[in-house]
Amino acid sequence: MTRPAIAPDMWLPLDPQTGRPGDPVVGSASLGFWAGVRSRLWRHRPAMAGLGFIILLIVAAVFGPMLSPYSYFQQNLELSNLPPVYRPYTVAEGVQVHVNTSNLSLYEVGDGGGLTGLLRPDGRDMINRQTTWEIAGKTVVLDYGQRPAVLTIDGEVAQAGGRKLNRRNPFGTDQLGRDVLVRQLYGARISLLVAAAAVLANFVIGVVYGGVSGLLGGRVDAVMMRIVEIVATIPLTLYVILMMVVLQSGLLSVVLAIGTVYWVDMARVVRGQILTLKSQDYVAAARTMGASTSRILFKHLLPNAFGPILVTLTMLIPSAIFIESFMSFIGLGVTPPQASWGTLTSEAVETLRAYPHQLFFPAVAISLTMLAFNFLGDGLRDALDPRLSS
Amino acid sequence: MTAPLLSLRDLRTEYRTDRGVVQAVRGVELTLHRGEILGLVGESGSGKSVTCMSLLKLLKRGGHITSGTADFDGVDLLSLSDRALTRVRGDRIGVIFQDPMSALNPTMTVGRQIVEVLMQHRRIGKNAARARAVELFKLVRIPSPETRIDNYPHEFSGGMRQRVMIAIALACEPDILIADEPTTALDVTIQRQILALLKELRDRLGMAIILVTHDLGVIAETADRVMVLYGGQVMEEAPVADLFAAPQHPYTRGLLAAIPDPRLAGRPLSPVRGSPPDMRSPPPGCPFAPRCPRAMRICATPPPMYDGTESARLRPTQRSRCWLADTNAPAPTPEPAE
Amino acid sequence: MTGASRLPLMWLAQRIGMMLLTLLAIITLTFALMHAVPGGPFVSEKMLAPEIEAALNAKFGLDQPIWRQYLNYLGGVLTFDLGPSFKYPGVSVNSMIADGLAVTAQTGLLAMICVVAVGVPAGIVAALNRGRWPDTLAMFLASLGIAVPSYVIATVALYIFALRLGWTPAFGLDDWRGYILPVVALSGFWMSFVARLTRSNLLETMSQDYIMTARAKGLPARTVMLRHGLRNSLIPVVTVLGPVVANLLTGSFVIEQIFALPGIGRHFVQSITNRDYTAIMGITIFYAVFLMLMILIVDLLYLWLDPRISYGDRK
Ligand SMILES: Nc1ncnc2c1ncn2[C@@H]1O[C@H](COP(=O)(O)OP(=O)(O)OP(=O)(O)O)[C@@H](O)[C@H]1O
Ligand code: SF4
Ligand SMILES: [Mg+2]
Repeated sequence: MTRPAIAPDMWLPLDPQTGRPGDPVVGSASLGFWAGVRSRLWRHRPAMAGLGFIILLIVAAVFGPMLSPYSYFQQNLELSNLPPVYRPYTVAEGVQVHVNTSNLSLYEVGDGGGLTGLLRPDGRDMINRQTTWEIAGKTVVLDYGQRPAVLTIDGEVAQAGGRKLNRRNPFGTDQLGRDVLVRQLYGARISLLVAAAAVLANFVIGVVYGGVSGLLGGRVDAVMMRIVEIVATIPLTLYVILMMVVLQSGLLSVVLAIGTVYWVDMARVVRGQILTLKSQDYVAAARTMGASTSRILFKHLLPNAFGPILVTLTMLIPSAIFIESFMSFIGLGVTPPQASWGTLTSEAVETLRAYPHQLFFPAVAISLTMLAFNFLGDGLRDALDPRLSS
Repeated sequence: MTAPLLSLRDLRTEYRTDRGVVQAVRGVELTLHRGEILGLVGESGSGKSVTCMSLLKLLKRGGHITSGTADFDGVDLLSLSDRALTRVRGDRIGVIFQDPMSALNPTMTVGRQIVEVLMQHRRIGKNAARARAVELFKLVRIPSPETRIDNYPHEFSGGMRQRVMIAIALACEPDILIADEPTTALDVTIQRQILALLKELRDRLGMAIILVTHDLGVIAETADRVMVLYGGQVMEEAPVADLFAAPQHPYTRGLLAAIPDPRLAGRPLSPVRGSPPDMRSPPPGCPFAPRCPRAMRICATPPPMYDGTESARLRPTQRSRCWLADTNAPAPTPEPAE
Repeated sequence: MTGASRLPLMWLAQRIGMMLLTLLAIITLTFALMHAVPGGPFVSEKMLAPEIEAALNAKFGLDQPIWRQYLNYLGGVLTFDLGPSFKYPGVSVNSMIADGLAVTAQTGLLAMICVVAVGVPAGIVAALNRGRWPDTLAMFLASLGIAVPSYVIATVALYIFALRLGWTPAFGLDDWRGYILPVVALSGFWMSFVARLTRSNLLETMSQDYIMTARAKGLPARTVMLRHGLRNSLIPVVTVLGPVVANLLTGSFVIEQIFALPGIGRHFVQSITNRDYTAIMGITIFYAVFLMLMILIVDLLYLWLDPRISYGDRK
């Protein structure tokens, strides 16, 4: 083998202080744990989308109802069951009406395109199944002898125009003429309130219960975990239902029932974390230095157990939101006129045949919210577990 | 010497991860003769396992062999399809892994795990396979094999499980046994027993063994020839006696210097100051240069593999990938005490 | 050791003891709760139809001290007699349960079958095609299934398939098509959950060392996957089947209401709205017993599947 000649000075030793050819790359190990978590979470697109949605939802739920001219309970039976989008009939230049073929009423279209008022009929012919209005000097007849009902203006069959947004009530109105948008936002408030209450209650109960169980260990731990086992066998929904039966329906009861139920997972997680951490040296050190149990719990253990606790909490939120809406749906949750996504859905089911669009908003709202929290939880869990990201 | 049993040339393997491409193996050459025990040593991450597993294309997710040939009995293993390789794996080449705790399927009796490999490669009935499994248990000295064969892995101790693994690997009397740190997870006495067993089995069955280890003591005791790996490359290669008597490569010297008497040592290698290179961007020249006490300017250029037959600085059977093996290089000086 | 001989009788006895204890706790709790309700069944001064009052009195002895009433009730439960309805004269809680059992059991069983028969294969397909479109699709659907509440699935499906398209009846189970929507809505969540769990378990299992061993033995990829990967990855899936049963039960409350199915769930919800307290108690206890049995069965199944577990030598 022939090798190229090598210049003599190449054989000189390298000064260890200066340019050694190629420095050892330390790698990303020096990156802090939380910085890593944050960057992984940041790159987790569904989680970020979920977080964005949640922030939006919170802002809308807090400020939306304040900005709305309507309240969640204000009824207007004349303007009930209005759609968010409709196709107006033009009666005369600048005069348009909306026909509700389910209740056979005509509504006035306001300047901005909102449905602003019910038009009182000027004549009803029950036998021929016709209702007559005099509008802008024209005779408008709704013939409901046939299905769907036909509108004639001065004897001519009218054609509906292009789709228009109902600017008065962008999401339409419900059976009692209440504004659906503001009720939706109110429902968001309830869901978020329940979520917050559940998180708070669970955090406190779960951390204290699991913490005490894990720290004390031994017999106390065994008994406490047996209790957890028993509680865990009962389906939480059933438990919440029984609570609601006793407490009577209402928002406070829902919050109370849900808040006191979901701590079991949290207690288990915290206990598990504590058992692993307990075996580590610094806790033993703190103990020998005379730190009290609660001090150890809050100063040393919680910061370390923060990750799993956070994931458990995030995963708990959709369950709490779900169970509230579930209870409200079967009529055991918040009481009318309060609006929860569950009651909104069940109200929409009542009018499903005539006004299916009323199902749309609560169904989408709860589904998106659940998705958002689930995505965020998944993202957090993945981000906290570096093992998964290779 | 006769033609080698296995001859691996220019193996390059990389792992594509979402943090970059890890160049795990960068041009490893390996020759294995019949009945020989070849030791592979090197620090963690030096590419020992990847080299072995590349031979059978048993790479974890993301692993790709980008070049190389592995001539085994006239066929190039690296160009075989996965399907064709199943006829080599477990039959002509057996593998033992480091951790006997996790290398056995926990929900299957050990007997079935042996019978399975026999039935895969031999035209053999269930009963015959079972009888052979009992025989293999005897071979690896598991007491009361007839009953133990129906036990689950968790019912065995670590050492016994490793014997089960050996029995599985030897079931089809392979030509080559790859033992990837077979004793690292075991305590010292068990470790000696397993090594003695491997040696004895080699003597009885005549297969070649590639023995991967961290432990130069294990090498000294068991291997015939050694290859020292670092940064995905072979640094030095020699018969065991030569390597211990006259290590040429500064990395090998570093390894040996950390052990007063290699025959007594049982601890893992971490003797040389500094840490191994990040294999996503290995040093452009000699991979050891950032840690090498003798580094020279030339070391920024990748050193060639010097062969003992051409360099007076090496024994005839020795090979070293270090510029210091060049006859023009400054003469070796006693290393500065640390 | 074989599967059968691993069955530890001690453990079983302990387990059943624990179950009875839990049951006792539940009975006591529901009794206490119902006692706490103003106007509940164990308060003597109330406005009730005379024959109901008489039946209650005969059963529980309303004039007797509370602990006697409790014992009376407990005695009833132990002899499988849950007492008279609090609202319907001449109707017993037992007959209410018997009345709805067939419907609930049918839909529940079908839903359970769906969960396993759809969830597990979907998870496997996703894992096998990791990162490719079948995986993306399956996991997208699973995300939806987990996020969208069952009652939303049910109402939306009801609207689309029953009201708009007319493919399925809107209520009742007179025809096999009537089962489709309730079963899908009921099983949606757990189907998705099981699919995700199966996928992640299978991927996790396939990265285990013993899978590498199996490959190193020269087994074909399919055999490795089926014989070594799948079985071990499905063991944890079995553990969620207990909770699945519980969830299907509570899910049936709303599903039976939406599709007007005369099952126990509907009776239960009606009892709640009617404040039929004895029915609420009785059905709750029935659920609890049923669940406890299911969990025991799942535990036994787990024992049989995973040889590492020996409940016998628990501390
Ligand atoms: N599955 C993988 N994904 C990404 N990189 C990997 C993977 N397996 C190995 N590597 C990288 O390949 C290089 C060589 O690894 P290898 O496992 O061969 O080292 P080793 O010498 O066997 O070390 P050890 O003594 O720790 O077993 C290392 O840099 C390692 O980080
Ligand atoms: S080539 Fe240079 S840097 Fe590498 S080992 Fe030899 S002397 Fe050291
Ligand atoms: Mg290795």
